[in-house]
Order: sequence, then C-alpha cells, then structure tokens
Amino acid sequence: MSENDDQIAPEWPFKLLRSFCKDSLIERVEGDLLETFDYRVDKYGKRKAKWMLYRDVISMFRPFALKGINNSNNSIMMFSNYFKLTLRSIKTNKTTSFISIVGLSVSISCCIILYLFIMNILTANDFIDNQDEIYLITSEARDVNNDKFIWAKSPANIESVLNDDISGIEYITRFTKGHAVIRYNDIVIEEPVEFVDDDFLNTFSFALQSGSKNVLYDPTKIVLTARAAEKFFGLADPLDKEMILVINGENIPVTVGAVTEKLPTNAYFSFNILVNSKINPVNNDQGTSLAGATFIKFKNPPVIDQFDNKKADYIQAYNAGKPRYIIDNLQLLRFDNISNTKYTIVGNVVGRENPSTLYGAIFFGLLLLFIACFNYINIALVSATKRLKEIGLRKSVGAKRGQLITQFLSQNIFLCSFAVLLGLVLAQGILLPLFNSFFPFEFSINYWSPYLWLFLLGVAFVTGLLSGLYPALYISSFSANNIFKGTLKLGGNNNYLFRFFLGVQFGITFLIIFSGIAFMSNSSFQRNIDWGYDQSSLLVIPTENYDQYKGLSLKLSQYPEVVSLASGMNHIGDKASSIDVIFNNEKASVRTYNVSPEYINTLKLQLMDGNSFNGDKSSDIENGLIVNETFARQFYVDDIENDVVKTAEGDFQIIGVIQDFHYQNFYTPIRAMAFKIVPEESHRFLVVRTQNENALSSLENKIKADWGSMYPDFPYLGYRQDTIFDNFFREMSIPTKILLLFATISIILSSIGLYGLVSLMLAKRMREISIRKVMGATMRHITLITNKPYIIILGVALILSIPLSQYLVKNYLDQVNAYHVPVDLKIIIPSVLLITVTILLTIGTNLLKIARAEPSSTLREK
Amino acid sequence: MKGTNLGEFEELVLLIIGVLQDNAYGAAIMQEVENQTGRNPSVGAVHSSLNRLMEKGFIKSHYGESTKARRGRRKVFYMLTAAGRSALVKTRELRNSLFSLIPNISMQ
Repeated sequence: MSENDDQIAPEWPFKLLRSFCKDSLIERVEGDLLETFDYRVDKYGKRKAKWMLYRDVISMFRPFALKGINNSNNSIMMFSNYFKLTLRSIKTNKTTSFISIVGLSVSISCCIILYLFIMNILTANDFIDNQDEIYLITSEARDVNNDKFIWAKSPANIESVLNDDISGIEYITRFTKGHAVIRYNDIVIEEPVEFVDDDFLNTFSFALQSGSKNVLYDPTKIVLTARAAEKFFGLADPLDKEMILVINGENIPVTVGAVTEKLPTNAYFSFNILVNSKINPVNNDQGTSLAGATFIKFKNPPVIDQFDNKKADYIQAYNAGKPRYIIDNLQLLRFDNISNTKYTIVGNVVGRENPSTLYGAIFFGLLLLFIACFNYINIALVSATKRLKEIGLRKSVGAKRGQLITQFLSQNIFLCSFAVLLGLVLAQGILLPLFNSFFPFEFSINYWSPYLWLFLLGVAFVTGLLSGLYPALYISSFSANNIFKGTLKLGGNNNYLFRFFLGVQFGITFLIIFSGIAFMSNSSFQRNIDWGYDQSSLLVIPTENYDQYKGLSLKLSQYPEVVSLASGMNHIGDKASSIDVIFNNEKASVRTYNVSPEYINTLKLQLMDGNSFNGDKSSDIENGLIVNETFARQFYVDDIENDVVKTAEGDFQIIGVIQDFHYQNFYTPIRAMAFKIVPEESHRFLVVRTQNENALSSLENKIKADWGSMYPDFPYLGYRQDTIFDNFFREMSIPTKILLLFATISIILSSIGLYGLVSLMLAKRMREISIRKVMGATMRHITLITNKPYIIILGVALILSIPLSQYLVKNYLDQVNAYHVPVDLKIIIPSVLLITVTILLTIGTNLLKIARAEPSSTLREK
Repeated sequence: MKGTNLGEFEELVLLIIGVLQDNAYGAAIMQEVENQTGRNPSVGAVHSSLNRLMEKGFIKSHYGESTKARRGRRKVFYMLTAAGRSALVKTRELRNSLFSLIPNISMQ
C-alpha cells in the first residue's frame, strides 16, 4: 500500500453516508468501507472499486441504519401517544371539539353523497362489457340552414347491407326509441319501447334474470326490464306470458322472452321494453328512414378501414332519397368514447350528464369542506391560548419546531378521521335516505369499494392537513421565553390571516345562501309567468286515429260543460310541425302548429293585429297563417294585408299576429312560430275549454268513462293543459333543493363556528369584562368593544360578496334559463337579512351569558 | 420479540464469524464471504445482517484496535454467543435429518 492511497478514496460518498447514517454505526462502516476499498483497488482496479463504493454507501440506506429512527417501536409509541392526547383534548374541550367534529363530519357526509353522485357519472354504463369492441355509427349532417351537427342517427338500411359488405363484424344492432300501447289482460298502457335487432343482447351485456340472450332472434319475443316486468306482472313470473302490442293500430301478439336484472343507477344507456325491429310497422326499407342509433361489434380493427371504404355508397344511397337532413359523412365512434366527446351528439341515446352538473357538484362540495376547515382553523387558533403553556414547556425541554408541527398535524389528522367516520354514519343514516327521497336516484354506499376508502382516507388526510397546517405553523412559532413572560399577545384581533379566514368563510356562506334564495324565488317566479294564453280549465285528449278523434268529438259536443272545442294535428306543449320560410333567399325552419280554425279562440291566445281564422273563408283555410310577434319582427312583416310569406310549400297570407306566448318551457327563448289550418282528417288532438275547474273535473270523469267503453284497447292519455310544464318544474326543483340543503348546512356550520369563536374569545376576556362591569360599564359598551372586530370583518365580507354572488348567480341562471327571475334587491335583501340575523343571534346568545354572569364569581375564580 | 430463525445470508455471516474466530470484523467478513462463495455482498447487506444477528442475540461485539488501512477508525469485532453456536448446530441438524430423508439423492 503506497502513501497516496489516502487520496484515492473519494470524499463525497462518506459525506453522504454521514448525512443519513446513525452516529453509532458510522465509525465501523466507514472503516470497513475504506479497508474494503483498498482491497478492491488491488483486486479489481480503481474504477470498479469506486463504483462498488458508491453501491455500498447507497446500500446502507436501510431502516436500521437511518438517523432519527432509533427504534421502530418508539415512533409507533409516539403516534399512539398523540392519539391518546387527541382523545383527551376532545374530552376536555367538549364544546369546541363538538363544533369542530360535527362541522367537519356534516360537510364530509355531504361530500360522500357528492362522491357517490360523481362516481355515478364517471362510471356511467360501466356494466357493459367489451366497450372497446362496440362502435356507434355517427353521422355528420346538415340542417335546413346548412348548419352542421353530429347526429346519433344513421340511415336505417345500413344494417341490412353491412354484413355482406364487410367481413369480420360480430354483431350489428339498431336501437330506435318509440312508443306502443301494450295490453295484458285488462291493463292497457302506452309505454316507451325500443326497437332493436336480433343481436342487441349479444352486443350489450345487460344481465338477465331469466331467459336467454338469443331470444331476440325470434321476432315474436320481447325483453322486459325488471321495472317494466314489475309494472305488468307484479311479483309473478313474467316469462312466456302473452301480451298484445298495438303499434299504429295493428295488434301484434308477443311473448315475454327474457327479463333483465334491475338496471344499475349508472345505466345512462337503458331501455324499457325491447321489441324486434322486424315488427316495427314504420317502413325500414325506405332509403331515407333513420335508425335512432346503429351499433356494431367487432374484434379486429380492419373493419374500420372497410367501413371507411364503403361509407361513400351508403351516404350516396341515403342522400339520393332527398331527405330533410343531408348526411355528409359517417364515422365509427367507440362506445367508451361516446360519453366524453367534446362535441354534443344530437339525439344521443347513450346519455350523459351535463358536465356543468358535475362541476357544480364538485364546486359546492369543496365550498362546504372549506367552510368546515375555516371553522376549525379559527377555533384552533383561539383555543391555542389554552395550550400555550404546554407549548412553552415542550419547547424549553428541547422540542424542535418540526416535532411540534408533526404533533399538531397528526393530532389533527386523527381528529379528521373521527369526523370522517362520523360523516359516513351521518351519510348512511340521514343524508342518503333524504337524498334518495328528494331526487330520482337510488344511491347506496358500497362498503367494499376500494375507491370509497381511498376517497375517505384522502378526505381525512387533506382536510387534516388543510385545516391543521396554518394553526400548527402559527402556534409552533412562539418562543418559549415570550410565552412564560406573558408578553405574547395572542388572539385573532391582530392577526390578518385570521380575519381573512373568517371573512372568506362568511363570504362563501353568503354565496350559498344567496344562490339558494335566488333559485327558490326563481321557481316561484317561473310558476307565475304568464304563459300568454289561458292554460286553466283546458282539457287535452290525444287520440290514436281519425275514427277515435271523430267519435270522441261527437261525444264531447253533447256535454254541457264544454264551452268551446278545438282540434289539431299538433298541439301546444305536445307535437309540433315546421315549415321552411324562404326569406332573403335563405330557408329558415319555423315551428308550426296545424290546427282547426277554433284553436286560437279556444286557447284564448291574444290577437294583436288582424283577425283569427275564419272557418268559412276558403282563403283562410288554404293559405292563411297566424304568426307570433317574433315572427313578424324577424321577417319584417308590417303590412299584413299585402305581405306574402314565401315557404317551401308555397305562399301564405298572414291573417293575424298574436302576442308571444310560451309554447315551450322556459329553458329556451320564444322564437318565430305560426299556426295554419289543416283538413280535419289529420286531426288527432282534441282541446276542450270548460267554464271552470269544477266543470273540468266532472267532464274529465265523464270522458274517462266514455273512453273506457268506446276504446277499451287503448289507454286514455288525456291531460290538463296546465300540467304540461310539470316536468320542467320538476327538473328545475332538483338544483333548488340541493342548494337549499347546502344553504341550511352551511349557515348552521358557519354560525356554530362563529358561536364557538366568540364564546372562546369572551371566555378569555371574562376577567376584563367583569372588571368593566364592576366599574359601571353598560352592556351596550361591552357589546361594542367585544364585537367590533367581528362586525367589521363580517361587514366587509358581506359587502364584497354581494356583487360577486349576484354576478355568479345571474350568469348561471342566464345560461340555463331563457326566462328567469331578475337577480335584484328582492333576492339580495332577504339573503342579507338572513345572514345578519344569524350573526346577531349567534353573538347575542353569547352576550346574554355575559350579561347574566356575576362579576364577583368570575373575579374570585382567578 | 423478533423470531430466532436464521435467514440464508444471516446463516452464512454467522458461519463466517465462527470461521474467522478472533478476527471477525466487517471488512474481513466481507472478504471472507467473497473468497468462500464468490458472492460480492454490499456493506449495507452485511451490516444489516449483523444488526439482525445482534438483535437475535446470536453474536456480541467489542471495539478493537484501529489500523492505517482504516484511516484511524476502530474495528468492531464480532463473536458468536452460546445462543449463536446452538442456532448453528440446530440448523445443521435440521439440514442433515432432512437430507437423509431424501432417497437416492446422489443418484440424481
């Protein structure tokens, strides 16, 4: 060994070793490393010896050799000790712990529900196997205005030629929604049915509770969902039962071939009753008829190329029939991509939730969690005063800041874990049943799902860190010296961050309350919107064919309750037609209702100009048009006598202009529309006006009885005109109910948070207050000096959040509804009042305690 | 307490300590393992085995002299304890008895 061996061994691996290795091990390990290094240089050469040295240093990075971990038992003991301390501090500070834990767990239980909701959307249709082998044929189509759109529909006849043209396709099935009257014994109901092809159940793996996947190969067999089966057969076995389908007046006997299991809640692609397309009387052979959706299933991708080569033929064949909507292109879209395309697919049968619902749910979930966290932060900061001595003592016996932070954080995460468990109990016990009864969902918590537990663990960890980090950093920053000298000024008053938290918390609460109130008043606003005609005391009876229409209208004209009777091929709130108006050489599709001359007067639509239809004037009947205000404005009609409306069907003469009215719900704005007369043979709707609601009820009963005796094979489908928007109101009530629930929870959370905060602060200043009382301070003065900081913070928060809330809510309502309540003082004032009253009540209860307190007893205690 | 089973590498280290007798310290053990088996264990592997053997009570250690090759760092010598010796014996007996139960092992 020569003298310069010393220099050979590089220095830095040893520095590295010293940085992580336990002191007691360093001497022997370094010695061994050096000695082995020399030995290896002789044996393998310098280069290799160096590499082996690096390897050896890194190989020392093992738990037994690491600094800081003396003994694995020790750190477990430390954490179990923190756990014990957490339990004890919960016991000693019952009120504040209660507020923190309950607050957190309430918001966590809301988050669990939102989690279920979000998971339901994210896992939509996941019960269908082999989604990567199923493709939907989408069409790029153009409407009459030449605007392009992506369509779920595709030419219906592709299905019949695809198997001959392309090799390698396993299954093909169309899926077209329709309606049919279904008769079983004495039950006659109109039900939605889905026309599919033989392969449907082989393409989509819907689980069957009875019957086989191949039943659809027999066109006389139908497949019921569990829900449809229950509707017709109750608990009895539906298999092989005979039913009659009435489609377009034809009676078709069928038997139940299979029944599915109950569809899961995330089944956005679903059906009611599957019927083979072969018995669909709507002619499929016609070149221009469309299938609601065509799916193909195949394993090898070359099918896509074959399809692309062939599709020009299909498009040409379809467009040759001069269809209403021209198709430019056909594309294959994989099933698992359907629910997350960037574009909307018109007439999408697979279904997906509006992404804004998803974002809204996540947004409000996070807001609630933040409120609970802020509550916790505020209370933790103030209650830290009680632990100051503990902190001082720990610091003076040598605790490092990092250790204190670890302690506070781990205690906090323990606390949050309690809250999570309690939240789970709350969600299961209270919130979930409440939620399921409010909304058309049937959610349940799957305790075996690893995602659920991962989510809960994540929530506990994140809320623990989020709510604990600031208090932990803040509290551990005090110097022991200042704590014991008593010079430390602690308390929210001087702390800007604390003010900020309190302000943000109340700002968020205000936003939620504001949205709740805005949505609530929007519901009542929309219920009271004038529809533009008199929708009360109107009965509508749709019929299946002309005979039924004629028979029933004769019957109706005999009843004294009937004030006026109108009819039509279309009806407001139900079916509509359209005509293409030619204006400035461009076609514009305009909604049209084909009605009888009496229709305008029976509905009491308001004429602004001109006349109503005159049934005796042949020109009115042949080319008369009554249009709405918007029509007149859009197509510059000012002289109704002379202006002629050119359409694709010929020229029309405007007879009258009526005031705009709501022919549709309030999602969409009122557009140009028109009424025209069609011959009675095509009429299917009967519209009856009665004197009043009582007359309406008695008429309704009579008609129902008549219908039952006249047409026992058909369901009675009559309804009152004022119920046509019920579905819209129901849809709108869902976000309203969610927001009201959130508003209630957030106001409760915030006020118990504020209560805890104020009572802690007052407890700290009890001595000062008692002395002031003894010296003759009035209650008013005390109120002022103790609450000034809160009032200022909350006032500023309120002033800032009013315009913000107004802006957000107005934007949201604008996007969703064409007609909504104005977001003005009528909403601002109640929200401000509600939050102010809550704040004052919360502070007031605390002050009551002070007012009642005997100064002598508080002073004696100290 | 930890179990007292011997792992394969632990057993090897324990045997080497017995072989080296009074000269059993880290670097010597490593070189001996290399010489006897051709394996090239890392320092971390050897020290972690030594640590486990200590915890199990099979070896004890004492500081020795320092040498120039170690740049003044002292050696730590390891010695078998009674428990260590009996663990070696037990393992060997178990091996032998199992070995004798295999019929015609030399034929295969």
